[in-house]
Amino acid sequence: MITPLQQKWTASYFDGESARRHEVKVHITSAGLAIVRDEGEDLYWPYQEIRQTQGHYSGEHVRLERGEPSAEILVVSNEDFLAALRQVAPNIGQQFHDPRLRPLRSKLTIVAAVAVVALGSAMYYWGVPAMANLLATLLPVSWEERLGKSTMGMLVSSEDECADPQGLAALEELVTKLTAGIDDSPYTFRVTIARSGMVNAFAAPGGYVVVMEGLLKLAETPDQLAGVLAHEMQHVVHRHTTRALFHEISAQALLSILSGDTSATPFGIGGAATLADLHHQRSHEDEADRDGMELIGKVQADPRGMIEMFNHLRELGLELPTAIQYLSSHPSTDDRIAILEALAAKADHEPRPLLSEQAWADLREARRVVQE
Amino acid sequence: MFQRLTLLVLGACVVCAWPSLAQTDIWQDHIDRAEAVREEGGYDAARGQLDLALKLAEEFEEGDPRLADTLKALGDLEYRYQDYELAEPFYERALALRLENLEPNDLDMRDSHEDLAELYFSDARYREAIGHFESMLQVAGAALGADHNDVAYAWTRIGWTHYYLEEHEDAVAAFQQAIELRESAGAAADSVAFFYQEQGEYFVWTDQPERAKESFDKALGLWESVWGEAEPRFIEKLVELGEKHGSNDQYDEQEALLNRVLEIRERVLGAQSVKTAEALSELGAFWFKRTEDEKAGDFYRQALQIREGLEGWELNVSDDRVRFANVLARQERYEEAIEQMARGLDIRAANFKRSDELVTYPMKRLAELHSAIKDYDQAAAHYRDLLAIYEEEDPRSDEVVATLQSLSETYSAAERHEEAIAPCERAVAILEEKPEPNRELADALVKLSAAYSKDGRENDAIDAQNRATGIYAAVAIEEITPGLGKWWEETFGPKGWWIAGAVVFLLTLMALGVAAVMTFVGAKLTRKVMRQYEPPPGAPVEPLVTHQPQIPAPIILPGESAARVAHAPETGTAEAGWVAPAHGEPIPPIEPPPTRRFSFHGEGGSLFGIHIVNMLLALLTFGIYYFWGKVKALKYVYSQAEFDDDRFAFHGTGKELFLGWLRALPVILLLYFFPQLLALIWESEMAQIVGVFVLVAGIFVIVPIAQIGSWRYRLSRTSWRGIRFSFRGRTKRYLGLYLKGLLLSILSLGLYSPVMMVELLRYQYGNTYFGNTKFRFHARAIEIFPAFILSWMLTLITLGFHNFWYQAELARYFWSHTTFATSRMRCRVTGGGLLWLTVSNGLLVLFTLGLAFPWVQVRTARYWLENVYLEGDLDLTAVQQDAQQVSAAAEGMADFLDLPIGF
Repeated sequence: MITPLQQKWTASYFDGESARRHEVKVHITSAGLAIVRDEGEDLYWPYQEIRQTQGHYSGEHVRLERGEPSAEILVVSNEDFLAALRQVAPNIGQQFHDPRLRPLRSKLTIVAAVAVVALGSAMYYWGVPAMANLLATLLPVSWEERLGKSTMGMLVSSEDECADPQGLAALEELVTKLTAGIDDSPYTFRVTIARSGMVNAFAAPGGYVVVMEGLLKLAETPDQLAGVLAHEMQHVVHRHTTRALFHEISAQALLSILSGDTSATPFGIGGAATLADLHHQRSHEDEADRDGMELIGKVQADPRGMIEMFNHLRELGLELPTAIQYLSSHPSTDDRIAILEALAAKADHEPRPLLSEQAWADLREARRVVQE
Repeated sequence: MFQRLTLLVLGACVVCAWPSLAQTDIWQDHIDRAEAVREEGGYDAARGQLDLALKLAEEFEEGDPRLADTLKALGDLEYRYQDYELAEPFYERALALRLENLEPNDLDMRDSHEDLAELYFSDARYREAIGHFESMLQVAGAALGADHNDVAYAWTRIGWTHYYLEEHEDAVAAFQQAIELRESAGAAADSVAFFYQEQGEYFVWTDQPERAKESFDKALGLWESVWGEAEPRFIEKLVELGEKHGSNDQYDEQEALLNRVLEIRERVLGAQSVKTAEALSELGAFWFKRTEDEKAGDFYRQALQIREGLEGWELNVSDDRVRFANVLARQERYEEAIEQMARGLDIRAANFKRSDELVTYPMKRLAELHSAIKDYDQAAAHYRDLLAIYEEEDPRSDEVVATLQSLSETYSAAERHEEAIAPCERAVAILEEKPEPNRELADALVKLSAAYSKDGRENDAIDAQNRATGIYAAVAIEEITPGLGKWWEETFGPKGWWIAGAVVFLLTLMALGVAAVMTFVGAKLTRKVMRQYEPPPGAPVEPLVTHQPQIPAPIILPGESAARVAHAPETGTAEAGWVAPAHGEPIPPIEPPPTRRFSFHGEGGSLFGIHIVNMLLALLTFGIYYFWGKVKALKYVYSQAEFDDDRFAFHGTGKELFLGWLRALPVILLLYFFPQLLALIWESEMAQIVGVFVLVAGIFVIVPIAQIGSWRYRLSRTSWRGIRFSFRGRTKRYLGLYLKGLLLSILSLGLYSPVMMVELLRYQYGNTYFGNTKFRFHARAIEIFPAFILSWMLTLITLGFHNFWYQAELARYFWSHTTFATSRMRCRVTGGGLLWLTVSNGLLVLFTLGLAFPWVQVRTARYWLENVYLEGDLDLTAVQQDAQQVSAAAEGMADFLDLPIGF
């Protein structure tokens, strides 16, 4: 039941020309507000010319404005005014706030908060990777090659590159055999040997792969080296590094949208994002492992080679090969080897030798030649 | 039955008596065995035996001398192992027992005194030593006669003790006393000679070569008279005293004595005698030491000629050859040196084990000599032989490591860099097994690093170098830490750590206490220096006597023309401001002036809701909604601010903010990427430097432009009672003031910064309008200068806390020097209030992971607004609308730069 509300209200009126306050009486009529002044003429404001600029929150005065640019202003201190307005003129426009909707606001806030968390996480977990994938796919291969080249320049100086022709020829042979197992790759693989004590290998965008001399030293058979190469080549084919780069950029953009003008970004978001990154990189390594093993199967190399190599690295307490990434994280070595072993067990082909003994010897000795 | 009882009693008697009968033998056995086992089993075994002996001895009858003997033996053992602290009580007890039980001149008593005296002497307790030497002297004198050899010996010991006490007169007298006692006793010449030798040695030590020679000559004369010159003992003495001369740099004397030995040998035994050869060899060694290689070589050659081929003298020959080789090596006659060394080595190799140092030394020298003539193959071969020998003994010994490293160096010298690496790596591998941290390992790694580097393996070299550096650091820490810990334990005892904790705690408390006291004092002082400039309540504000814009307001175009119209001279400091009365002048009592207050009604929850909805919409629109959301938040905050019962209003729109951002974007992008763009068109190394310089300079230009532009925009979109605010200063002028201030502040090391601050604020507030009426800013830099200097001095000692009070005083001063028409702004924030606001806000943000940000905003706004008010009469009817047109580009710029904008 609606109690009839008063229809005569005291208010303050400002004429928009001076800072003086006029105490006035306001009558609510069906088509507008009648303003009765002690001095000066009475005024009549039709509803369609009025906009409400304040009074959306409880305890706030209702502020109505009319005209541009220096508007006349009417301030009604009694909050019930809005309810009375709706009672008298139920069909007036949306420019007036409906106080009955206020309890909804706190619910809306909760809904919005849940929605922000849900949407934000969804965008982070799916949107950002999807965006990164899209951008990585759209990026022309020539740009990727340029990116890879400059990354290589930073990682390996040209003096450290091995230039022994026989060794490189053997390496080329191995890479060509592996490349044959990759369908429709737009990349030309450029595998180099870098003189370094590090026992590792890296893939950079655009087909660049570096095998550190330490790793070459560790490899006992061509199949072991091929295992690592297959893994790194899959990083290239799947554009993992490029995707990680775009992932980073998209994630930053999303975070800045979320933080908005609350310059103190809730730092809880940052922590969650870091955890998400770790998960993301793991999936890249996993993908490179699986597809690398598949490649080994396709070229009919010995699948044990890859596992042996990873085991060597594990025994030495070293890291397994990865793509170049900003935030370094690696899946558990044991898990990776276990998955590889399961995959290798499925292989039923008879392994064929990848390199002749002479070529393998050349390749292993490649490190001995110093580029002058 | 009776018989049985008798037997039993007898048996019991025997059993009871048996131990005491047996104990004597067992005691002696322990004492004897202690000496024997010490030679084999070392200290612990000997101490065990003596402890058993002591146990037995303590059971003996009172007065049994064996107890004292046992104690002496125990003292001797500890003394031998240089544990003077343990030895002392044994000797003391032994002496006490002997004093009690023996005749006063028993020789055992002399021994006890001597033991203690020598103990104190070794322990550098010379005074106590002298006392016991004197007792020893008395006992010996009484027992053996005042001129006995032992008495004289005690005198020489007293002499040496005085030497260490630097009482040289007493020392000389004591040595002289010893000689005189023996000479007056008509003792045998060799006995007297011993005391002359002691005296001479004292002179050597006190660096008196003349007197030393005198004493030694005397001693030699006496010995010669007893033994004759051909006696080997005499020859030995000649050599011995010669060495003593040598140790005092009296080489001529030594040479003379050695020559005399040679002369005697030649004369007595003939030039070809092996003994002559020995003398020649001795002279060779002498000249080698004197670095007279020619002479040394001659003597060795002569010695070799005599002994070569003589059966039974091969080893001496080999010694001579090795030494001769060293002489030749020093003369850089490497070929000959190698020949001699090799021949010496052959002899030794035939007579000793391969691993004997006598064999390995010449091998090593041979390798070195081959290296010296760049015959690296031979050198490496010798090192490899040596390595094999050492490895056979112990594959992980220090010698193996040293040899591996020498081998590596040899390879390096031969430019066989790749081969040089392996030995170094092996050395590292051996050293790695030793306990960490290990300085030798670090040294080896440095060598390995050098080897890698020479082989061109720079990365490995760097790795090794880095590892070495890490180890050196660890070694340094290891060496320092226990030292510190030991020092600490010694100084403060085991409770030291508690004391340290307490000291740190107290120091922290003290620092906090000092900070608190200084903050308090600083707050009072700052208040005092600032109060005199604060206008008293109700201090009159004269109305601005400039032209008032006519009604209706003139049409003012955006930007500069507007500013020019209403441009008031900004340097007229106190044109209508309040001037501080001179000290002592009474301030007339004034009725409390009318005040108008500010207040803030916003709630964190509402603001949080706005921010959350903004976030959601920004997510859905890929960030575009940000500008509209920002307006929503600003509108809420402004509408919650109240002055004199009426709310403020914000009139900006999302659209204009978005357009402003778009306008600022190219400027910011151009600036940000300027270095890269410049590098594209200007291919020079300078491009980088110039680019970065322009970037930095650009930021310094953009910051004030964005600041004042944002102020201009915010004011133009803010209204109260429907009347807009505005800023009518010129951006260029503000920029000029900013750059000038910055430059002068840097040049004056910050002293200019209060002037800069006041000038900028004066321009900012002095050109701010509400409607058609201007605010005025009367602050003067000179008035805040004392407080500024105070804050400089107090910031560190108050741990920064003073800053809250300084900022509060500044705010009070600046606000109270801001006037509007005939009224004055006032501010009553306090340092404590600001401190609490900052701390509580910080904790809020921290414990909610930043989610409480809206509440922080609300609390800050409330604190400031509720502590600012307007004082004095104000005729608001006179204030007329006078709006300005302003774009939002600077607001966009400020957003990019993340500038804080407070209003």
